[in-house]
Amino acid sequence: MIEFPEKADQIKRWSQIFFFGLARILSISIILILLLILYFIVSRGISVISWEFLSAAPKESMTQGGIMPALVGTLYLIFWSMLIAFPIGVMAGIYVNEYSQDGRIKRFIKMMTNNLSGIPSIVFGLFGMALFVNYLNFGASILAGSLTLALLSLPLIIRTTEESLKSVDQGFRNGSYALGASKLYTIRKVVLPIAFPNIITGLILSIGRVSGETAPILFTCAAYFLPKLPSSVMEQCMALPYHLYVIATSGTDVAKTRPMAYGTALVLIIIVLIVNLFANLLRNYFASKVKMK
Amino acid sequence: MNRSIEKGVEVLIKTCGYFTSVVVVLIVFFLFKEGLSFVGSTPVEEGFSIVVSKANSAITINSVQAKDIFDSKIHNWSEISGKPDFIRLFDLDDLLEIFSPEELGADFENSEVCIRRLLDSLPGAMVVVLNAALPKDHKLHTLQLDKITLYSFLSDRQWFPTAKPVGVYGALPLLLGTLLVSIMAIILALPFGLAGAIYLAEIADNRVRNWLKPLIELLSGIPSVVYGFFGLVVIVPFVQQVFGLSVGETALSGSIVLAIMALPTIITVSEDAIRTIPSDVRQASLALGASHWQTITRVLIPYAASGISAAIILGVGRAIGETMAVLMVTGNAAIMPHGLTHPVRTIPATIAAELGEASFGGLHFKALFALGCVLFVITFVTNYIVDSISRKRKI
Amino acid sequence: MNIKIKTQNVHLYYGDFHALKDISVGMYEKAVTALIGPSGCGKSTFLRLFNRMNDLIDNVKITGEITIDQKNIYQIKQSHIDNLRRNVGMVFQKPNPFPKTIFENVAYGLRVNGINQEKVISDQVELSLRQAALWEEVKDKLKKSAFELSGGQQQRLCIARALAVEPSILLMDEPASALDPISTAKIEELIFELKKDYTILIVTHNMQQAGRISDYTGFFLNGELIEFDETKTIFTNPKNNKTESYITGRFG
Repeated sequence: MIEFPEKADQIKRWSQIFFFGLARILSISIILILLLILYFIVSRGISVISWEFLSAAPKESMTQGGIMPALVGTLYLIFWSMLIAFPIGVMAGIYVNEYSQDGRIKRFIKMMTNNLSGIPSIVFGLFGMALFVNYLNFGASILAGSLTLALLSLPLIIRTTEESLKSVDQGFRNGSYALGASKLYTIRKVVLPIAFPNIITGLILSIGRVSGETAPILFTCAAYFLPKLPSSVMEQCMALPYHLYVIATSGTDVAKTRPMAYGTALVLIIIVLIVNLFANLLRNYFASKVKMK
Repeated sequence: MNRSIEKGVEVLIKTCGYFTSVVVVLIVFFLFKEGLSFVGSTPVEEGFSIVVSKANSAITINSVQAKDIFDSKIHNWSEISGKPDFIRLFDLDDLLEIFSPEELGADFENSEVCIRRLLDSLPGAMVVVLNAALPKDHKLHTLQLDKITLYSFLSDRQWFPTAKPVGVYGALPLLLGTLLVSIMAIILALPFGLAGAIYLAEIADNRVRNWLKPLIELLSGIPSVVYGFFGLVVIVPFVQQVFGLSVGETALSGSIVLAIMALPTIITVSEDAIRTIPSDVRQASLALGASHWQTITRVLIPYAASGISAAIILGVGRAIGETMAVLMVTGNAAIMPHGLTHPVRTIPATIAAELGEASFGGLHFKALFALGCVLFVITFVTNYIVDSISRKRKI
Repeated sequence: MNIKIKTQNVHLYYGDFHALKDISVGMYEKAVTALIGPSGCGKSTFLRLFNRMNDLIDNVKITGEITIDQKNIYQIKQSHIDNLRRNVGMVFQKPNPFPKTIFENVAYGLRVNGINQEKVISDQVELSLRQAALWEEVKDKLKKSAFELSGGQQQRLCIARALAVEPSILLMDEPASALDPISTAKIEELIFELKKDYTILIVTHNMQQAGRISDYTGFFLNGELIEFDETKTIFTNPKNNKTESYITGRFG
């Protein structure tokens, strides 16, 4: 017969209380770090944000004025990069989930997509410079920058598309095939409409990503300062994240540019918040819709 | 829909399916095309030659020695295994002072003769001259410099790509700086990340988890420049004060910022690994009288070990590739790292900081692409390891 | 024979779902009691009452009286739950060894409960492995990972692991359903041996198995205990016609 020491049960209980508490404290501190970041930027940036800040160009070597050209530049980059990446990404997702039958090819494509998503953004910048700026001779331009950002955001779009297609019940497809519909018709009329909200989540998340990336546009697009808006995609533009980098690090008078920097950082954070909020809302909407069925 | 249109759309879909593979191949091609052409070249500034006397042309020196010569730290040929003689440096301006314009000729057509005369009278001389000022078929002897090899690139301890006329391209300080900052970041992030993952997967109830997870996702959505900016205005002064430093832009500041940025990756991947453990295993441990905490540390964490290590490696990989935040807070001194409280410079930060100044197609430009290749290889390897770990898990 | 485990008017709710309805039954010491019934009838939930495994699920509410050796196990101090769980061993549907060596799997229950004399542990590991009829097969590879064993061996390892903390009751939740026929036969033989020393409750889907190994059988349907009796009575002469329909294979 084994005698179990009664003390052991006490030790067990107390150590559990201690370590659970520790895990809780560490987890709370993660949230506190997030709140600290948000607090710092919101509290100091909120007073800077005004209509003028959003609608005027930087003035007096970036100590005055606003961020309008950078904001618009970022919107341009989002628009063009998504216009390129979204159709390609969705079709690639369709191919991987609906068409590719061979397990090896599927694995290969998935591996390559995975590799692409692991490549550091600065390497995308190098690549964009070598291919788009120099080899294809687009020069540093919105086009080159958007293409680079598009490639960067492809894996995310492909993966969310694939995941959302995978979650569509096979029964829908079989039902459609049973009625004599072709594969493409089935995908277009049955599968895609069901998967759509989740695919859009991928689009929104990539918008968040694209709006914050700096390294890929450093050499392919971003301009240090442009007083007016670009008139074509072959011109450079300013961009919010690069603008923040510039005024945070290389301003002539750091103390005077700081408020501008806080304001710019806050705008970036707001974009991220909106993007996350939308993505979550859509995801919940999608989840509740699936539950209904 | 028309049959032929349908066919066309399906071809398009298939093409898109292979698109990422094509992009990866293109990235490899363009990166390595520039990067590999860097290996094997001589580190002399583009368009210049360094001319020496015949006797001294038998000596081969490396780029660090060359830099020391031009920085006047090496004065005598005997220091670089030549015959004792002072090294005297001349450039084109010096030639213009020594020789009259008539002697040199209007288009420097007599430069070869003049330089030969100079070398005959001063055998220890070293003349830096524009290639354009020399006849194409000149018979002068040029200084023998070690060619850049993959080994020298990765193991030389100095990085002075802008040194004139001979650049020094040793990536070791950058490589070590990158590893120091990244690994320290993961060490800092690990206790928080693991605790967060355990808390989310095992301790928190559903209600808490449902608002905690989006917050952690939010953390991963914040752009890296914003982290960099936060680091600059909060963490840099903090580190400076705590350690009483003259500058706060240090490896440690970079590690702290990177640790915060790596948290979401570590938490989500590890949490996933813990949550996918069959609930049977958890119950079996509890049914033997183990406490929940004992179950977590003695059963669940070993069970999820491969997933957790995948999370760690993934986190390191991300940290190694991170550019902007690190660029803004680490101080960017391209020297061998002395420790956590000293400035360092990472590979991505170097590319970001220097590519703008490097002339297109020049040696410096190629060197930065070679750094890009190093980064690419590192991330490729990390991806491969993560992939094989997670494949093993499924079996 | 003594009644070892007893329930009196037990109800169990998962949130709004009434999973066990008014169950009153007594189970005998050193006998095998089989719990049968279609999926979702509550037999596994019933089994998990006795080592308080249902406590782990949120929103569970239990009423009624559950006693082991005349002690109400839902009125003990929180710190005595560990004691209860040592006394009530459990074996699961799928073999679920821990990611440890064979030896450490069996030693686990001892170590987490504060036993640290290596001699005691290694003696107990050997004893438990012998009881689980696994000793001869693994004695030369105790330091190997438990995952290297076959499915049947893993399940017997899990039984040894449960025996190591010297329980008096063994709860088995379809212990052979994931195994091949030969491994199943071995487990059944083992259960037959073990009932000399242990009170065994076994949930099973397999009617023949219940007939072969159990002394008593309870039939569950929709959270109710329809009938409880000696196995031979249940199988030859059930009193309730729902039981009869189930046993003759008309549903489930």
